[in-house]
Amino acid sequence: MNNKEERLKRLEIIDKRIQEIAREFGLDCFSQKFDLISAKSMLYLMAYRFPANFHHWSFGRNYEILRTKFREGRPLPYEVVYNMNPSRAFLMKDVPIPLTIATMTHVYPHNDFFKNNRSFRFTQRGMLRKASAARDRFSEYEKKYGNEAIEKVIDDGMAIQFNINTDISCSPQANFEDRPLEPESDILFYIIAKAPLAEWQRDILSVIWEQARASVPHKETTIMNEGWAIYWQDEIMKRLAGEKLISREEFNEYNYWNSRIVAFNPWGLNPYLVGVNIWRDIEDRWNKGKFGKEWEECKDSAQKEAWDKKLGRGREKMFKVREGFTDYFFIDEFLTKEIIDSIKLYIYQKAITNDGKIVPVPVEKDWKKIKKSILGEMVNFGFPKIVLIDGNYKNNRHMYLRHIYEGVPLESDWRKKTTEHIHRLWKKPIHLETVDKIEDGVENAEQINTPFGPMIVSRIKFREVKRLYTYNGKKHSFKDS
Amino acid sequence: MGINERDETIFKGTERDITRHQKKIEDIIRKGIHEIIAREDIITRRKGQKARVTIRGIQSYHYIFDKGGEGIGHGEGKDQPGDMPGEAIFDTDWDLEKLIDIALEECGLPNLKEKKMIDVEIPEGYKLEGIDKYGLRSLMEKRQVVREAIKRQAGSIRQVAKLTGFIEEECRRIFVKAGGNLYKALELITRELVKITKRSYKECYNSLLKDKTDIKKALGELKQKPLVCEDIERKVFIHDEDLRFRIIKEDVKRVSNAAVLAIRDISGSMGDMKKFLSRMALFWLFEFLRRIYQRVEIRFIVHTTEAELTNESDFIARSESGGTIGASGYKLASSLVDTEYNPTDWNIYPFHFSDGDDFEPGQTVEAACELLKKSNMLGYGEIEPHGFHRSELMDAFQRRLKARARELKEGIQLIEKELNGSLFVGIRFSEKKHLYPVLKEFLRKEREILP
Repeated sequence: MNNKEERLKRLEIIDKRIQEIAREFGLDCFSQKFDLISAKSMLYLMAYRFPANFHHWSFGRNYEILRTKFREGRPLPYEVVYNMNPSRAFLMKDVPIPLTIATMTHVYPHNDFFKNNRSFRFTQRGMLRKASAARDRFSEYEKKYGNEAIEKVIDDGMAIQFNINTDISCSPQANFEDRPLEPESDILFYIIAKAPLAEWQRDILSVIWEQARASVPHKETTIMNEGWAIYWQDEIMKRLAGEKLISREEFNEYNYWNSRIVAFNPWGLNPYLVGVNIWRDIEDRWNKGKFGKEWEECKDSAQKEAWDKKLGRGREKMFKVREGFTDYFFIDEFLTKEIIDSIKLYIYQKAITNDGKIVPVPVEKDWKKIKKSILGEMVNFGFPKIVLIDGNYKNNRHMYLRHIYEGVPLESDWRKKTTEHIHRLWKKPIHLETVDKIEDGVENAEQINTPFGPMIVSRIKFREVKRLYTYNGKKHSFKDS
Repeated sequence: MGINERDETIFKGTERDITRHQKKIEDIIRKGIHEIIAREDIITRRKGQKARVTIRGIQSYHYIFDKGGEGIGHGEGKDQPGDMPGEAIFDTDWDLEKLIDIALEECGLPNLKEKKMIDVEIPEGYKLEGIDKYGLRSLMEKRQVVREAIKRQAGSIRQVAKLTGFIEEECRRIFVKAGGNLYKALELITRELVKITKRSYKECYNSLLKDKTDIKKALGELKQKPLVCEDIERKVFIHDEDLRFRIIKEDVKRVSNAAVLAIRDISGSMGDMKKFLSRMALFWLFEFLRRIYQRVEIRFIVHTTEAELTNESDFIARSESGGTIGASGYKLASSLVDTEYNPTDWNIYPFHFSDGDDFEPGQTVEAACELLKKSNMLGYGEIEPHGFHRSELMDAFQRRLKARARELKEGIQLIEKELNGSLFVGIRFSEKKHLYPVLKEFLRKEREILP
């Protein structure tokens, strides 16, 4: 038996044991298949979303970006796991064996999460097969209509792939009104249904729509899911070490690697770090009874510190939460001031030290504001909400869209380009109602002292103005109301 | 079983998307070449080094917020490129040579060669290049001939096999017995058929070629025993149509030389921007000419009221006080041509950069015209970054040469005149962003010059 076979054999034995331990802990998984692939394949997998997908230059771009990051030393994820039954996971193969084992222990809780979290109840579990079928169909279209024609449709579809209904529990209706009774948030589907398109164009857009939809539950549970996986990975690895299925050195190597994954990042929210901390906090609080009216109303910090009702319901609560929550409510309900302070989850800005180093400096420590900002980024995945008001505006099949303005205007170059994409599909003028901020004089002129002497500093005042942008296929124009 | 190790890359056909993406980047570079041209770091690189071009990724546009400088860094989470908004910033390493090539293509590299070039043709004997069906016997390409014969023969044998249903080896033997002639081979077979069926030769032959129902039984019989019993050696028959010959061509080397005479006004009035612009213009002119000519030499002349030959770094860096007499530069350039660059062997390209303030514009123009007689093209670049005060030199050129003036683009004025086969181009410009159209103009393909 050579090295490779020995390794596989050991992994299979450990895999069996991991499954048993997972079951003991209460994890409820689909059966799990693993594929060990090269780093290069892993890069492709991440770039294309699935092991096989249709052709598009944006996937090529993704690949180049990932390869650049990889070359710069950013660690690749060691696994990609798909929500299907049986579940399939791809692992990097040329990796020290304790990390392969750790990755496997990471995959099973993901599996459990996909099987049990509400968000995934309505998902398509056949996405891999569909993506591969799409690739074959699109190849046929390319032969018939030329690569460029297909590429254009994909470009257009991708411009509005985030303008879909994020509530995937309801299927989109088949018949759309010209003027829907309620503003329609699934613009992409509306276009698929009502734009003057050929069948093959409809097919391409539908695939994009489907893939975007399939990504919705993932996007809305990233923090929970990754935290969940890190938590159980740790528990299972500790057991394996205890049972001597992995050596002391191997366990240490795992710990070192894991610490890098859950490392703190001042410039972006690390879902592994935040997630696992919240889960552990939930476990602790429900074990000790640190919840409920009494707990909320207690103002004595020493008492809160020592609180321990010995309820032991931590795990029970965790399993309930993993079933019924999404990130938004997870953060809202369970991200506490204590957690924020303990992991220094503040808002940072870049500052330069005397010797030219860039260091992060916390500029906001108020946990309420921090929480609000995190939650704010989660609404509609951080994208502006655009809805369709009328598909027959001016009784001439113009499209009328409205941006639901909540204080932040749209970026104008991207707005123009995206609207052009929509127009290419709809083939009639597109109107977009939004609110812009325009300069409106200065205010609060004050004198401050600078190293160059006293200077007058004034802030530019902005005025909000309601605007209707129109693109007629040739140029962009707007009208203020 | 539960764990599977895959050795091959599970992805096929991904190169296509990467290539397409790179092509899109190249398109972006092409569109932005006029900016890249003016980048200082490009000209400080040495050849063979890669110039790093930063591209703000190619966006998949969608509706996003205008954060306007406020960055609350809750962003990436799991590394999901492309799907997330925000910039994908690439650093692409581009070969300096490739960038220059792109710049040249976008400029429409002028084919001055055809018009005014003095190319020296050196005959270097003959060379063999290509294969033809006719030619001198001594140039016959024997291996190719045999290959063609085998190909043709195999085709014929297959045809016999198809018609008769015999095995190929049997067909080959028949074929060789028939002297390599397909029709003779068919004749052989037909005669045997006649023996068996007792029909006429004509009937059997036609049946063999078309509807075989009549002779099916006979063919079956023929299949049983070999038609040709004797020992038949493996032979290849060569027909006329198989012959192949090497083609002979005259080998001529083209030697082309260009001499660039860079003349710069270094008097006090040439500030930093002027230095930068003249330096950039000269760099690119030099690169462009390098593409056309095999050998390009560049000589540097600096002048105030007097001129001096110098080296490149001095040429760029030097600055003196005092007045300007452009004639000094032109006269020195002229004498250089007389002593070192004979116009029969060299294509001469003087380029003069000044700000137009000249003590003796009349003299300067005369000296320039002297030099113009010996040159392919004389370029005069007048750099005036502080608005357009009427400068004397450009006007003097225009008057003396009776050149036509026109506005090339906003802020760029052009005068041009052809005199006895030599071309004068004078351009007045002031900003970095003029650099690209100016260069393009200096090197344009076709010039429609009005007398």
